[in-house]
Amino acid sequence: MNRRMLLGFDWPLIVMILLLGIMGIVNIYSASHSLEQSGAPLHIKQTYWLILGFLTMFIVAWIGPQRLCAMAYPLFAGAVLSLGAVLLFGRVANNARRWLTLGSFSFQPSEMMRIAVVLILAYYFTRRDQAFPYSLPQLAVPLGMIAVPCALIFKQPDLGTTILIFLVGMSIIMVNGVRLISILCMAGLALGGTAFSWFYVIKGYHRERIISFLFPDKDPLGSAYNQIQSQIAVGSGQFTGKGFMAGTQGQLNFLPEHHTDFAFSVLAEEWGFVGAAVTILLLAGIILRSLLLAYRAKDHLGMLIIVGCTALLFWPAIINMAMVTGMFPVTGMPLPFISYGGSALLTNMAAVGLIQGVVIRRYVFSK
Amino acid sequence: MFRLSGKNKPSRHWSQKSSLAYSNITPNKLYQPSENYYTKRALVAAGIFIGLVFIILLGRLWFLQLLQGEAFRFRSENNRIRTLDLPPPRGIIFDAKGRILADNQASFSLALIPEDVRDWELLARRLHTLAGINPEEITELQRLAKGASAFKPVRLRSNLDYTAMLLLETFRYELPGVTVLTEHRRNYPENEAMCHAIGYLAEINAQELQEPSRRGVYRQGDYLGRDGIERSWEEVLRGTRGYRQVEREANGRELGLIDEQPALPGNNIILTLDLDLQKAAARAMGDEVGAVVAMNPQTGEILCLYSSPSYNLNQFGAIWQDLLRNEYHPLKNRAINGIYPPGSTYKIVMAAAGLAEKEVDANTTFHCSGEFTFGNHTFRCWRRGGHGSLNLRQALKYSCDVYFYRLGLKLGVERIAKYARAFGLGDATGIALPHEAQGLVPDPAWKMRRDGEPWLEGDTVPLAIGQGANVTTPLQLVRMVSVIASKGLVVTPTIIKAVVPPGSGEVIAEPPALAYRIPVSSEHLELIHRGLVAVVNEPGGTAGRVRLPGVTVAAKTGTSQVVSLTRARSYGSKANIPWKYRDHAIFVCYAPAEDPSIAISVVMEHGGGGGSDAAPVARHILETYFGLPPSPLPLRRPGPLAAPASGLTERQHE
Repeated sequence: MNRRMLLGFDWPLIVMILLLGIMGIVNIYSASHSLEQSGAPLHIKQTYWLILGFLTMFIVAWIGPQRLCAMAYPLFAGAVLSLGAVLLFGRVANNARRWLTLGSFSFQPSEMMRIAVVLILAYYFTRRDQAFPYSLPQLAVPLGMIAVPCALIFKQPDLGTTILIFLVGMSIIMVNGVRLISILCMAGLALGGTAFSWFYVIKGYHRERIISFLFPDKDPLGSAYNQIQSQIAVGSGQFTGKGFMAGTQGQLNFLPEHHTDFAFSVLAEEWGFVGAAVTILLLAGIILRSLLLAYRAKDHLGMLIIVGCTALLFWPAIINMAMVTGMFPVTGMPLPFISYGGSALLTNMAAVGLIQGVVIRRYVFSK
Repeated sequence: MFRLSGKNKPSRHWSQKSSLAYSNITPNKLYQPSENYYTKRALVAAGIFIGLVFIILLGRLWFLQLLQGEAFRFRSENNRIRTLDLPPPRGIIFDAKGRILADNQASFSLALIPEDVRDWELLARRLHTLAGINPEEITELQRLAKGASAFKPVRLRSNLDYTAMLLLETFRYELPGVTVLTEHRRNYPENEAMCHAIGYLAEINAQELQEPSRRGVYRQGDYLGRDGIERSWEEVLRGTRGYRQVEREANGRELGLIDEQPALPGNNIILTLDLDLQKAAARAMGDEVGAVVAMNPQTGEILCLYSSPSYNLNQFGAIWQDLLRNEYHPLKNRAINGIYPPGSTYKIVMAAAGLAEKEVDANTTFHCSGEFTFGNHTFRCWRRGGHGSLNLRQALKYSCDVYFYRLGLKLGVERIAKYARAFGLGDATGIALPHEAQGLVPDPAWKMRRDGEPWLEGDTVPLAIGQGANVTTPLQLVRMVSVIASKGLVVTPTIIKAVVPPGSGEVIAEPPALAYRIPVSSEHLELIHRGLVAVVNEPGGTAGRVRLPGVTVAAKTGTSQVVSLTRARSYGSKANIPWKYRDHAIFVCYAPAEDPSIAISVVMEHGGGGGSDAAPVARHILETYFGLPPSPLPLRRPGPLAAPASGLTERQHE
């Protein structure tokens, strides 16, 4: 990496992510305060993860999207194989097989798949001399590239990541260009698919969650419980919040996973509308800034990569916040940079690294 | 995200099926939009979409936090889902015959959850009248209770009596924040005789709570074993805590149970100790300071582990300050932590070393004239007139010092130390109890470390009769004599017979103790054994006091000097010597001699003579063990632990 590339980093993006990450750590300190912990406190761990994340970002940016895309097919194949391996030999935690253990090292292949899907779709579309926009039959291969990992991850089961990969893949396809008629066809298929999966695929507890989301007062102590409590937490924060470490809902331990999936409820309860709005604006800033970078990208590949990576940040953010504010059913999706979690943070920072990798090469003419 | 509608797109190029598919070969870029054209327009649309989504989200927050904020704040204040901690009952400790040594009793504590308190002044007034609590205590609590700690109950009074508990329960709903906690309180039915072996509990402190191994397992207010079995078997005894999640109204009334995980009681433990022997030891030691240890010489099971002075475990919290200040250090477990010169009991080691190293045999004799001069120093035998010529058996029986002075010089310090260590001296026995002392086996290296001076041959002489820097614990002494009793086994003493997990009915026996064989032949051990039998059973032996009807006892007495003989004699009569300058009385024995099942060591600090003062203690324990009618304990003048006595009672003299 030469000096020019280093200067070429998009610093506003880095600053916004750093700010959000620090807010996240402060919030985790408060949220995990009442937890019975073993080992290092979670906010310390998250600090290490954030540092490691920035390191990942620089390394991925340095390798660059060109070189990574050249490996897109083997990478994708590797991710598919390890997803298969997870189903066969994965470690069971919380009623799902998500972790693959190799010696003392364990990882979630679904995290790897998030990046792989972005790379392979971007690569696929730039390698094709194809009329724009695409029609449905021409999309058979890219749709297959989404469907295979989605099916494997759904089997684990991990509904959140399945939805995420589907949305990210569709985002890339859409931005790349699809005929209107094909869009309508896909919408029709999606509706049919939803109806089908509601009756034949979706597990009982997910169905319960969706029902309880639609009719929250039916069973206030059952599966709607989390959502009601989360709304109470957010709402009771009012304008300025209850104060740091003084959120009754969070500190009383009734919010489940309040340092991971429901971290934003704790933040909104303790820092009020002010804190929540700052978080939202920072997230919106990061995502819109990334889109601007996509717009300015020199080549099609760079554009699609940035779009995919932005979608990787956007969809979890919006789903998580919609979930904790009671606009979306509970689907175990952490809020990027705010929720506790090392592997998710590393994946997100790798995505940011891909964006930066495109940005720093805007003056480099490789062809 | 979404394609713009068909009308906006440059249909000239894209909508016509007949037109050439887009390709890079078209030379005129002006008429052929770049391949990014669509993507860029889609990006603009996506940006608008994303902006809208975030605005909707902000609107939702505005709705929840500002428009409905008041209502949600009210709900959050009424919404009190509390997780109540369910501490586990600690495991019960039994003696070898199944008698309870430590169990749990319910006890009630008055606690306050500061967050729930509505009116601090009213609370202070009411608690003053209801429970006699100083209003200043409440004010102090109000000042301290800030932030997250305000949700945790703070214990105000422990061990409430039943009426106080009822009174508080009655008025509880008028006093939000007040709760009555039901806790398990450790109870020790047989506390004084067992106190050192059992140990005690004390509340965990902030620093201990921070230790990685304890985080998540213990909470503030938990008790932790501090000594004895309570400490070394803490993890087995403590159990697993549970919780109860209930929804409550602001005034504390419970609305419903949400989740419950019952506490898992700790494992029960069966000890090898026998309460009868403990009590016998306590009786026999009376008001003297010292320790008694009894062990099965074959298995290493400790049958009795008594240290005097003892204390009341049930009142431990109230008296521990006094115990700390007491000049006789009652908290010290002398059985494993007291170190004493072994005195003449060390002659067992000397005899084994002499025989094994072939410096003496059964027939070798030395002459004792009552004193022994080495260099310019004269060492005396305890018997002024001397014993004349005697062999090993006689030397043991009469406990002749001069015989062993000479043997010691022949062996030299290194070989003595080697056998002392082989007998398990100078190192912890490995019993599963805290604070075990190592004792000391002196050797030239040790002297060089301590004094920076080389070993002199003259140093070896007092060593040979267990004096000098030589120190051992009563537990090491009983193990030492057990080596002879078991024909050569050095066992690791055990105190736990079995662990009984609660509710399962299954009994997990502790694995048998480790043992190793001492490098002394069995004929030599037999020779020493016969000498020890003679000590008790032949006329003139020093331990005639433990001769029992029907049971053959083998023993060795010891009287270890605390000050020089010259100084002791300067007081004239024995009775005039101040307590702390008197000799330690030491006694080791085992029985039945044919197939020993019990070995005992007794140390009576400044108690006088091993044969005269410590032996009757061992006799009392042997009688209890073998179910023999107890012979009366000798009358003694009051020991150091007796209340200050006006005069001397009659004391038996040799």
